[in-house]
Order: sequence, then C-alpha cells, then structure tokens
Amino acid sequence: MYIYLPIAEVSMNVFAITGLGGMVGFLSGLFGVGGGFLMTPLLIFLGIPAAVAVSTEANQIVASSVSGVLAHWRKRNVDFTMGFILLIGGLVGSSFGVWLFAFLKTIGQIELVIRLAYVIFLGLIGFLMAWESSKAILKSRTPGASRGKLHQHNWLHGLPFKMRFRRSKLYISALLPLFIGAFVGMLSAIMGVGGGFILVPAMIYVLGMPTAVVVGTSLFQIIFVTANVTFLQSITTQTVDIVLAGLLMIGGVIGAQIGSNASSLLRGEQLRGLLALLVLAVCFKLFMDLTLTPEDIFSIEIKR
Amino acid sequence: MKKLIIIIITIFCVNDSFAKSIVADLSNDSININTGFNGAELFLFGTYDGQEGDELFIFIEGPKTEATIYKKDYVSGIWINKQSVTFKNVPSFYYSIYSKSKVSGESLNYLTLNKLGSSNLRLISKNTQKLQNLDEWINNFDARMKKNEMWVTKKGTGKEKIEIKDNKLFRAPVILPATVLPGNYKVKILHLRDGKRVSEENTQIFVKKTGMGSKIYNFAHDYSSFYGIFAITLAIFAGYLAAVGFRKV
Repeated sequence: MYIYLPIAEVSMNVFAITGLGGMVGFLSGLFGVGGGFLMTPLLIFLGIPAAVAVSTEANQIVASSVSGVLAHWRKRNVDFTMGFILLIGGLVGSSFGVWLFAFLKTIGQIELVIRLAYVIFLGLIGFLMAWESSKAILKSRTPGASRGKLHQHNWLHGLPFKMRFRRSKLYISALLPLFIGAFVGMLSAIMGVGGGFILVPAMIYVLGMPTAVVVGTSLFQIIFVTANVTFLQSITTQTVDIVLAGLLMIGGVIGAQIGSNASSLLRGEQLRGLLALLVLAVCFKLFMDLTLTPEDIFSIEIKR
Repeated sequence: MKKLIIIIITIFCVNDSFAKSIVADLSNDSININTGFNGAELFLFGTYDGQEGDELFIFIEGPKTEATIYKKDYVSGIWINKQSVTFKNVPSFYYSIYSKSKVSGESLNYLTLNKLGSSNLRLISKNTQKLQNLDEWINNFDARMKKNEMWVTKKGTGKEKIEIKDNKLFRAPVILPATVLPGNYKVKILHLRDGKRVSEENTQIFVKKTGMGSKIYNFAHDYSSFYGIFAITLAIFAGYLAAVGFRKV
C-alpha cells in the first residue's frame, strides 16, 4: 500500500515507514535511547529527502520525548532549574541551527553537512560505547574494582555566574549548561535528533549530574528544543511532513513498548555493545557513501 | 468572379485541412496527485491521414521550472558538490515518441528549427558569468534527466512506444512517474511527410494535487506558522496518549 507523502513529495510504502518507526522504536525501548540518530539516516537511505527527514524527525521526537518525560516526572527525576538553563541555550542553538540549515540548503550543501555530521557523531558515540561496554564486560569478570570520586574538579569549575541546582546537588557556573544546550540545540536542528546521545554523557561527565535525574532532565529539554526546531523548520523551509511523522509515531510507540519489555531479557553491557555495533554500521555506510567514488558524479535537482 | 474564387479557395482549404488533420484524444486528460498517487499511465490515441513513409511525432512537455546540476569533486578524502549550473525554464518532464526508429534528415531539421524534442531545447544558464563548457554541462544534464525518466524519448513502433494501423490509427501509452510536478502538460502530435508538416494537433493534460495531501501541502506553505504549531500539538498529544495508553498499572 503506497502513500504519497505531501511534503516529502515521494510515494512510499506505508508498511515500510511504520515498520521503520517500529524497528527504531523497538531499539529505543530496548536500549533506552531516543532513536533520532538512527531514524534520520535510515529515512535518508529509504529515499526521503535529507531536509525532510531531519525536520520531520524533530517533530516525531517531540512525541517520543513527551511520552518519555511523563514517567520521569512522576518519579520527580527532572531538574527543572537545570532544564531551563539548558533550554535557553538549546533555543538559541537550535534557532541558529535552523538558520544555518536553510542557508546550506540554498547553496546545495545540506546533504553533505547532514551526512558529515552523522559520520562524525555516530563514529564517536559508537566507538565510545563499544569501548565502554567491552570494558564493563571485562570488569564484570574481575570483581572488586574500585569506585572513583563523585566528581572531579577542573578548570570548568572556575567559570563565573555560579548557580545552585538543588535536584542535581550541584553548584556550578550557568555558562556550562548554557553552552552545552546551545551546542546540542544546533546539532538537533541540523541532524534531526533529540541530542540525548550527546546531552546525557555531557550532563554526567562535564556537569557531574547524578545519573538518576539526567535522562528526565534531558528529555524535558529535548521536548522544547525539538518543538522549536519543528516550528522554525515549518516557517523557513517547509520541510516538516506530518503524514510521515504520524506514521513514524504509530510505529515508534508500538515498537518502544515491545523493546522496553524485551530489555529485561538482556544484560546492560551486552545491550550497549549491540547498540554500539549498530551505530557503527550506520556510520560506516554513511562514511562509504561519502568516500567511495560515486556511481555518478553528477546529480540534478528540480525546483518544485 | 471574386466571390467564386473565394468560395473555391475556401472549399479547397477546408477540404485540405480536413483530409490531413489529426484527431486525437487522451484516455484521461486530468491526473490527480492524491494520497495514493504513484505515477500514472494513460493513452493517447487518434487518427491521421498518412501514407507509407510518413512520420508521426508525439511531444509531451511538462511545466517549466528551474533545475540545477551539481558536479561532485574529490576534496580532502570526500566527495562534495563543488560546481553547479542552474538552468532557467527547463521542462520538468519531456516525453517524445518518434514513429520511425531512424528519423529522416529533413524531419530532424524540422524538429531542430521548431525546437521540438528534449535534445533541441535551448537551455539557458542562470549563472551570470559565461561558462566555457556550457555544452558539456547541458549534455550531462540531458543524460541525467533521461536517467531519471523525466525526459523520455522512444523511437520506432511497438506496444510500449506507438502502435500504428494502416497509416490511419495511432495509439501510444504515456507514463507519468510519481515525481511529476503539478501543472499543464502540453501535448503535440505532429505528422511530417518528407520533412514537411502535414498537420499537427495540440491538446493538454492537467496534473493537479487533490485530496488530503494537497490540503496539507497548501496548509504547510500558506499558513506555515499554524502548520508548525499544529505539528507540535499533534506530537504532544500523540506522546501523551502513548504514555497514558501504555502506562503499566
């Protein structure tokens, strides 16, 4: 059954799209990740224009983050003060990102920048996860390993505008979350991701937030940043396809439920190892597309 | 006397044009791009008054637009779009059928003179500075449009091309791919004998967006801020519904 996507202006198989949504939803439920960083490249592989894939995915992430944050909210695992500071940065960064996106689109380089950004970040994250999970698997075989300090002090703690974040039990400079929020916001606009895969490690290792509040707080921030991206992409590039987003949401919701139930069957470090392999595989495919001699060095674009 | 001449001329002309004229019709002259659209196939058929050796041509030209060709170059390890040329007034779709697999020289002249067929289009580059190798760019552009099946040329007779019966009846399938642009598609049927026009007929196919898809498209373009808010509201609602619906009791 084919459906003509009104904004992407391509005809797609309904089951391929909901199936993709379901598959990525399953993985995000299984691994506890957002899934945008897998969904956007896979949509591009399917033949959705990169610009539409990015903007539409931002819209879908609004939905998945809303459903995710509610559970964390009930458990009071959201640091709102930190969330707001991250959000201010995120709004600035994502607005700049959408502007940059529109500019790159007019000069015909948006596909390249999206693909490059994915190669760099997927490569980095995939490598770090693979390293961390293999270390964890080895560590679990040698019991009695030592625990480190709660958090280390370095030059980042000397920055001005210090603020108290009660839920996170932190007293740090507001510039840090502001900057992190802005950076992730920009990535969110260009890559069509929530940015959890950067935000979560940054909150743990750079800000030193307790792990319990990290996911809830990042989801809280992601809702508003992706909503901002959805809105700005709608008015500047008109690349948000609500039919595509709706189909992905349907698949994603069902997949995520199955995935989160299945996650109890596998061990954490093995899960992360599997995810790392998957991320590296997608990264590898994108990398090859960029570096191998293309089938045709010419491409055409018809203005619609 | 004067009246008589006029009458004679009129009779001759009417008779002449009547005898040589083409009558053509389309199986469907209005194509709707709706939610289920995945391209369309229609038939162009009709009669003409031909004789052995005549040539019949069909041209279908889609709405004109701007088109850009990019050339990738190997720059520090990756392939990037480095050069580009943008052409103005490019037919987004061009379908040509030539009844002879080998078109006569005279006919080719006629086509060139009248700018018929995708290879006889004079593409104009939008770039302000003069390009030395413009012809090369045009050739590459032509080849890619053909590869993407936006410019199609079929030569000779056959079921997939054009079927001709007794030099009188013709029937040709026309395939519009799923990527066609909405607009008016100009259809021209041309009947040549020894490179001279015997007759021609012009008609049109209307391709328009209809149904839910076109409403969404117009909504997104005409009221983009409302569309954005709508998309966000929908997502929040869907997310909330999912959280509540699957909440573990």
